[in-house]
Amino acid sequence: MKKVIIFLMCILLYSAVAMAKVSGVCSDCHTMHYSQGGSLSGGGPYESLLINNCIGCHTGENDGTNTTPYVFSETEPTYGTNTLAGGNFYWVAHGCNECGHNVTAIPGVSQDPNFSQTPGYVSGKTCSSCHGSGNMVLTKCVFCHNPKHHGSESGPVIGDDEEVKYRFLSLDYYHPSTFQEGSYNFYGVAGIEDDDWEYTISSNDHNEYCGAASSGDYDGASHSISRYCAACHWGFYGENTEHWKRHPSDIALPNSGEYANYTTYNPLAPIARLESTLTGMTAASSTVTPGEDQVSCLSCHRPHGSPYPDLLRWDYENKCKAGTSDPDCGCFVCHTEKGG
Amino acid sequence: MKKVVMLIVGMCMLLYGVVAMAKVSGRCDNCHTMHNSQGGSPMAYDETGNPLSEAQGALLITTCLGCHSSTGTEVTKTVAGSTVPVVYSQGGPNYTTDGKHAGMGEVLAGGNFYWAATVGDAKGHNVSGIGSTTFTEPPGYSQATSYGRPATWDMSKFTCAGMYGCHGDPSKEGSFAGIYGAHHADDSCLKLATYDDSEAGTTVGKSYRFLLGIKGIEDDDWELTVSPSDHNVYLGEDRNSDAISSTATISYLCAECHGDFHSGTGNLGMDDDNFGHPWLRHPTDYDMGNTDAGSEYRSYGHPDSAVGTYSPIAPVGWASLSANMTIDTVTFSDDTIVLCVSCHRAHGTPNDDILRWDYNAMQAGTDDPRNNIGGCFICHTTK
Repeated sequence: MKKVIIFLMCILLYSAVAMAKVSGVCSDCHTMHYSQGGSLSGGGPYESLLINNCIGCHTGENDGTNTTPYVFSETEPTYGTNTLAGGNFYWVAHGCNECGHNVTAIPGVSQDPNFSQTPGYVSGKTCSSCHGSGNMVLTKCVFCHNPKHHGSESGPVIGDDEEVKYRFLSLDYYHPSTFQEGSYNFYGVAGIEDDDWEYTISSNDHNEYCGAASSGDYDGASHSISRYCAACHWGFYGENTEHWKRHPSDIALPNSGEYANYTTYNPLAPIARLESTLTGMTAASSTVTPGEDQVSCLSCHRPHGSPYPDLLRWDYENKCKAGTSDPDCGCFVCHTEKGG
Repeated sequence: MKKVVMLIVGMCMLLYGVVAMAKVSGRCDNCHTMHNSQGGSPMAYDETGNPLSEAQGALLITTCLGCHSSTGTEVTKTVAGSTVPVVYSQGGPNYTTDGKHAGMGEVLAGGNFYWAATVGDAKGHNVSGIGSTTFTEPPGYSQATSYGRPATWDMSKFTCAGMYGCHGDPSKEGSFAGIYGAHHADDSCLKLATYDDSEAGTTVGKSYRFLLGIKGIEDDDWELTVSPSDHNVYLGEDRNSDAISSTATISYLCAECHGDFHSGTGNLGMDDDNFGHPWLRHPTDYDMGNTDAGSEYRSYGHPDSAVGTYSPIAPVGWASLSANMTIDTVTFSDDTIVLCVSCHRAHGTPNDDILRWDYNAMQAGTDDPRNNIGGCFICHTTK
């Protein structure tokens, strides 16, 4: 009887997990000749016989019932309520150039005029080896994502040993996967995908991010999400050894001092797991282990966008005042004694 | 000895009689009337049997539909001892629309005009007199002059054959002029056992299904009986660009009116700057053997059959045809060419866009979709 109950629970758990592999009627997403009723519809044709482009499908208002994640909303979303883990492009599309990645495929988004180079550009490193001065314009979503909507995932950890990567994060849309592996030991992002993209969120209901392959690692083969960010922003990742000159990432939270107090996962300032830890996980965990779990780029940033400059997850200017505790300041989640 | 010779001759005659030939036989007055007058009454009639006082082209006693339609549900009929393919069954033929049947053995290979005539214009080609449409030209009709078609289309003239039709000679206006003489041609060059590539396509009568210039091997009962080893064999082309190239493929015939879907320039066609994935539109005259060795397309096969089994549900084309060639299996080398007819039946089906199967039944994310659903998944085997 006990075995039957466990078996049934597994079936229920599996069926509740949202998979990236799409299902449903083909015509929901595809059109064979981009022709209907004898004439062409507007905007297309689109690659892969799609009825719309990336942002066309991923624009909307998240309400907990949508089965497609919306990363751009045409009316201002309520940050932290109906925005998802990666954030929302709304603010960068409405006048705040520094509030999101400037993906110009999104209506209203233009190149950030403040930059002549990608932040963190290091000559000769990663993409800059071929892409010159490092002022690449993000014209398309596929600069960061290589979508495989029909790909099969083995779950719960996505992307560690399979073609489909965590949130489709891989640079091999334009280059073969062996290229990124050989150039800077990156094998596509791994992680556990929250089934509603963190529309609902708590200490045990969230994504799980992959950190460094090993402690102090910068050169090992990696599925780290921070190392992925470093493809463009290497200066904020790889040039930061010894005494900190820049905020660390893919470095373990110290198991001493104020950092040792961060022991319960706080989605405001998430941590990443050591890759060897992540691969053994079956679900999100509320436990944070200082000395092992790591600070990540995503501990502080939302890559699509937020209402705040530098794509920060919280209002750094107004909420983070040393000596003044504030639960809305993500800095104090790790720097537990700085808030007073 | 004399008896043996006569026996052999008799057996040959029986064997010959089994293979359906386009070349008609029998009494001339089965099809022709000299003056359309007999006892003061016309001899010609339409597809419903009503008399036609106007004399018909080629001295025929009826129209295309008069011979090639039925008042019931049958998809073949006997006219004076000859079996005639029926493409419009006015009583409504059966058609199982799921992706594992798609009308196989229920309608002929080209489908049936019944649904275009009775349900709506999305169910078939809207030949004048059969169905109607709000279209003013065929979808994808551009560069028509590149295909020998008129620069502008006249839907009121859309006929079975000729300049504004599919069959026959497109340089001739009207069905009778377009098809003239074809029914009397020796088309043995289009049969599997006697296929002759040098003759095929040279005249209307020697062209696949009277589609001038098009080569192919004609199934002897128009796929009334059909299986992986008993079917039409289509000519395709293994292209590396979507420019117009071979003019002998079945997809080229479609392109004469739907050119953009086959050879459109720029983003009017299948691709933009690069031929291949990601496509803008569904490719045709493209060999799936060009896909990666481990791709899903290398698992093409008839449902509930081994991978590599030809599927008459989603037929593919060969880059070259020959007498007695193997037609029941494919090798993914110039024999898995995607065609327009891989997905469509030209005359009509119960499905929108004259698809061979119900597109709305194609559910992505199903386990083993090739064998469980068929249809699109006969090629897209892991979607």
